[in-house]
Amino acid sequence: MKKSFNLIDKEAKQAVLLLKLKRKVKLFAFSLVGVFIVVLILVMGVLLLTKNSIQASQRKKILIENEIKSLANIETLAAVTAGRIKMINTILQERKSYSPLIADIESISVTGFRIDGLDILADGTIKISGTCDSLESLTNFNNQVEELSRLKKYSQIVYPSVGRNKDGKYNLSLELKP
Amino acid sequence: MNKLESVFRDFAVPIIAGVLVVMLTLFFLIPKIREVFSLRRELTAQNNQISKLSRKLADLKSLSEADLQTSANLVLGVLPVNQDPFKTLAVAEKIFLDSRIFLESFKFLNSVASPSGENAEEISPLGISFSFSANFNNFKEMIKKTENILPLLKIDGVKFGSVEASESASMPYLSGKISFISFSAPLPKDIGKIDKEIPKISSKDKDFIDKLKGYLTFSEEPMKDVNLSLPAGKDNPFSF
Repeated sequence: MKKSFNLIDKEAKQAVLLLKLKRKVKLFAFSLVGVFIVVLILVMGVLLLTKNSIQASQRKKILIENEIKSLANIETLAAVTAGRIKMINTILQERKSYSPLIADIESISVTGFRIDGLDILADGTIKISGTCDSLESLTNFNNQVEELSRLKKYSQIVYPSVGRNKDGKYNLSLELKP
Repeated sequence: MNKLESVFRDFAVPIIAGVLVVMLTLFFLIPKIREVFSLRRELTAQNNQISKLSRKLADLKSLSEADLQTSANLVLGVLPVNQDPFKTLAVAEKIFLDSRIFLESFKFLNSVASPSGENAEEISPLGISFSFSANFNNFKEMIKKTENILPLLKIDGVKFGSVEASESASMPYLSGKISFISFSAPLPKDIGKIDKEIPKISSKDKDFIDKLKGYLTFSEEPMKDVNLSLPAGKDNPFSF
């Protein structure tokens, strides 16, 4: 019995397959090139536009900077004024006001009380010594001191000494600590 | 063999094209895309800086140079640039004279406590101690004047050597020492980078300036506009 092979069919099928593959590869390659070219054009376009925008904004920036430089005197005056105000505030916050202390000394200087010694220290502590010529003036003096204590003007109010002398007058010393 | 060659030839062009595309993507397109992103970031930063500069320019245009000059003259009178011991002496002498206080002697103090707080390191103090004698009321007036005079003075303690009481009045005749501290501070070295915001002078600061206008002023000569010119736009003032 004679065997028969259909060689034409097989070759034809292979050729068709190869042709199809070739087409697909070509299509893929051209698509790849096409996509690449499109993306490249887009990227280069965006790059160019961005570079132009940067140049334009740089020009704008230089113009504004020049305008600011022309107003440097105003800026200097503002910087000096603001800086000095801060420094002056620092000094004033630290500066102890002596006028209220003097007012307090006056307020406790009742009739019949005489100041014999007075010191105002840098921290605002008042050391006062004096003489009251009667018990009534001593009471009045103490009432005034208690008023200062009530107003909480001082953190500590102490009498280091209170005594009666031979003349019947009252010697006292008082410390008012801020 | 010829058939194989033909197949290879047919596939060569697409393969070479594919390889070229991949190579160009890796070595040209991707770096360009990165450049685009980097430039976009730069552009955004630059636009932000422009808007910052525009705001600063608008702020500068809204300020009145004449008003600022007046304020600067005033605050420089309150806190001068250079320490002038003779001016401090002259101011103190005027206070004593106006308060009818007898000034006996004075002495410059070697060490004075510097202020503490914001910007305090830039402030230089100068201390002078005065020996005086006065009655209590004049002393009180002197204290009031000292606290309300420009340039700024700080009383750094009062020590009474003797208190002579008079029988007729409870307020005694005092003699003692009072220490004054005067202050000075240098001008800023520069006004900083160009995009730095202008120091704000708030309404509170304006009220403070108005308050300072109410202080007594001591001037030997009429106050002139102080010519200020500071270098601008230098990031590091110490770089050359």
